Amino acid sequence: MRTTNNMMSRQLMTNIFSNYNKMMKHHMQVTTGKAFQYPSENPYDAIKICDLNFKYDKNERYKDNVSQALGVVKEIEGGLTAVNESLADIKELINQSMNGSNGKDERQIMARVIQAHKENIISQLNREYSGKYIFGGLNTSETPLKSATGQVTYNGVNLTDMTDERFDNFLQDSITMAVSEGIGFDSSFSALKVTGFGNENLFCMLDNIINELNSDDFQVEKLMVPGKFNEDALTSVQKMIAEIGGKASRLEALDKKLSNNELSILTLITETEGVDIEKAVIDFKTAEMVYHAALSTTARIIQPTILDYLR
Amino acid sequence: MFYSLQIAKTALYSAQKALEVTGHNIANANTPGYKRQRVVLSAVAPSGKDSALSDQKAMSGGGVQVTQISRLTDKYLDIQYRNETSLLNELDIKNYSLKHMEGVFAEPSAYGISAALSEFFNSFDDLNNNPHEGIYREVAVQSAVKLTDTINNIAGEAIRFRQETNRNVTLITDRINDVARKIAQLNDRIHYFEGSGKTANDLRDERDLLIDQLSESVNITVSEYQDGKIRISVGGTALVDGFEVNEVVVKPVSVCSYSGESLYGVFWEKGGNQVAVKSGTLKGLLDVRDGITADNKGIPYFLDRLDTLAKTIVQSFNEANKKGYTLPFNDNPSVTGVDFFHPDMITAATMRVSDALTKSGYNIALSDKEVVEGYDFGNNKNAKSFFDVINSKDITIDGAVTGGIRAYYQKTVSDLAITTGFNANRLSSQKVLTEYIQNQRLSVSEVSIDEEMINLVQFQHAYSAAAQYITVVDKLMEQLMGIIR
Repeated sequence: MRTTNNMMSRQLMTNIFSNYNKMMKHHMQVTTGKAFQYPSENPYDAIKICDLNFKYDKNERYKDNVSQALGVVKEIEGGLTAVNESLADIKELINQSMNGSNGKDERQIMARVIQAHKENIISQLNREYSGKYIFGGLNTSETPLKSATGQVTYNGVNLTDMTDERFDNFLQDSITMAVSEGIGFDSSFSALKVTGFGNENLFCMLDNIINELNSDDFQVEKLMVPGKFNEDALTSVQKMIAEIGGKASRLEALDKKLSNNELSILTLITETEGVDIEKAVIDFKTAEMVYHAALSTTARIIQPTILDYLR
Repeated sequence: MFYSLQIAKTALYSAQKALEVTGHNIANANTPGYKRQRVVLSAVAPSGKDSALSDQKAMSGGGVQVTQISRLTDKYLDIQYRNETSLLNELDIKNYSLKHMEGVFAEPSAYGISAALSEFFNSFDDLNNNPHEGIYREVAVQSAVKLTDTINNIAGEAIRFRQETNRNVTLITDRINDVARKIAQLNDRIHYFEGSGKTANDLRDERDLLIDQLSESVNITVSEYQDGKIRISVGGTALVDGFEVNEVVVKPVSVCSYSGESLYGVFWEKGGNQVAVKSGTLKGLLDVRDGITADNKGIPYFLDRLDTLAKTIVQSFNEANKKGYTLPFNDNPSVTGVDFFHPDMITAATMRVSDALTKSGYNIALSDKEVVEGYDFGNNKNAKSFFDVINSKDITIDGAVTGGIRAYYQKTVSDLAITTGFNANRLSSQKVLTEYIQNQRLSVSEVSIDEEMINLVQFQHAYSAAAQYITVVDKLMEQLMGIIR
């Protein structure tokens, strides 16, 4: 084929440009750390990345939910433990009062201690986690337990007057968080489980005990009648703590699993989207070398013509 | 003897002509479209039998003559080059447009629909976890607004690009007409020039260059008449026929359903038929502007998919929100049947959050039963309806299964990416092919300085030799005169 000067320079320009483009591509890879800039450069990987990003996102949501649920559960556990300690103290005080050898002053002190414990229990059950009250079921924006004029209300309903139906409704109010694919986690815990309702509710019983201790003719027998005293209320909290502890350890296991997922998804994303820096740098160097070689041969080809050799 | 001088004259003259042509070639070495020229020499046959000077048996020739100054070109390669150029330019404009669309979608990035969708979907987790907290409801409304804004913007950008493409159709037809008129003028000049027996090499170069330019815009067929005029036709109808130009004009053929702007078709001014556009920039523009089918994915195809996405989101989220009850706020009681998105704005360019939600996030219906103020705080049981929409794999809209909102959008993006990638590959292979043919063409036509320099030396020597011959003849004459003296 007959080749002319212009053909040669045009071809050289094309080649230099394509070298330039190669260098540009590797340069972009090294500077951005991504194997490609537009999905059209590698449609299949781009879609894979979209999918992985979505999975990663979802996993992050689950992780968020788990850590939130875990925080709530730990807070519940803390609250219940404190309640349990108070109840244990109260139980001991009642036992002390039963031996009948206490004077009136001592009984009044006991009554005051029990009153303090009662207030502690209310404040423990009004605990909040990151600004939300955790023992109130769906009502997270205000304290669930309010004590006024000797009566305790839960979510605005007097505990003593609470009907069975309302009690059941309150217990059904639960917030289920999605903590894993298809797994919901109920992090809510109603204070009602601790307090009970009706005449035998915890606070009524404590009030009865306090009243009895304060009365002049104190008799243990008067106190221990069914309907006034419910020993179960003093012990059931321990079972609840065990139950909550079980939930917490389940969440911790989930958290670990989700962290592992996160790592493996991130690895996949980096493998698909990320660029192997060593390879990219070496590719860049190779392209650079070719570019320099092209420039130097170009200089040699373009410069001389037959004009240089005439005369 | 004088006959010998005559021979010397022809030799001098033709060598000089050859030098001139060489000079002309060198001068035009970088002129675009210039095709190298050659003097065609032929020997002058001996003069007639009865010439007094001939000795009847051995006649010497009468020297040399310049028969023609020819231009080196290959018509077959010209045709090939123009066909491939048409296709190259069609692919080029498609590649540009699809790349632009890819830029409009901006995937994967933090600003695309994908990210906005994720944010919107994620906001339902927070709603589910905190059904009673106003702040999360406002966050959810804001992320819905962000989603609609993002989809509005991207659709709007695509619609604007469609208008731009539509306007480019008019620009291209103007260019076709302009070039066609220039070619007709050149037809005239070449016809006039060659009528006097000469060849209009340089005018032909100019005309060839214009035809090359024309082939970039549209598919053309060129045929030449005996008298040097040419006829250029597009799809069988003549655009240029000798001095005549049948211009192409744009007429509105339909209305863009998105912008309401008229979409132009290309017609013949005379006859009024539609121009049969097969390739070239014009074909690329029309395809990009109108492509809505699976084998021609243009702007409307992707807009259509965005519309389906918008419609799916609006209708399925409205359905979910309508199932539940809102949370009472201020004096507004808990109600059911509230729309999430505006129910009448179901295109990608117009979709927006419903007025109820814009007013308050409490109108997100998370509760599955009426929330009576007092000791009722509203549950989150209807959040499940939203999660069902988000996680669904087979949402049906207009009788077609969309495969889930996210999957549908991802398929749209992959569609665009694959189409763009495919087109880019076609373009680069077409570039290689066109370049190859162009090189073949240049190999025939282009000036090589080295070659011209060698010719220069060669013709210079021929000139000196002819001059030397004159000296010899001159000496002979002198001697002859000496005898007489």
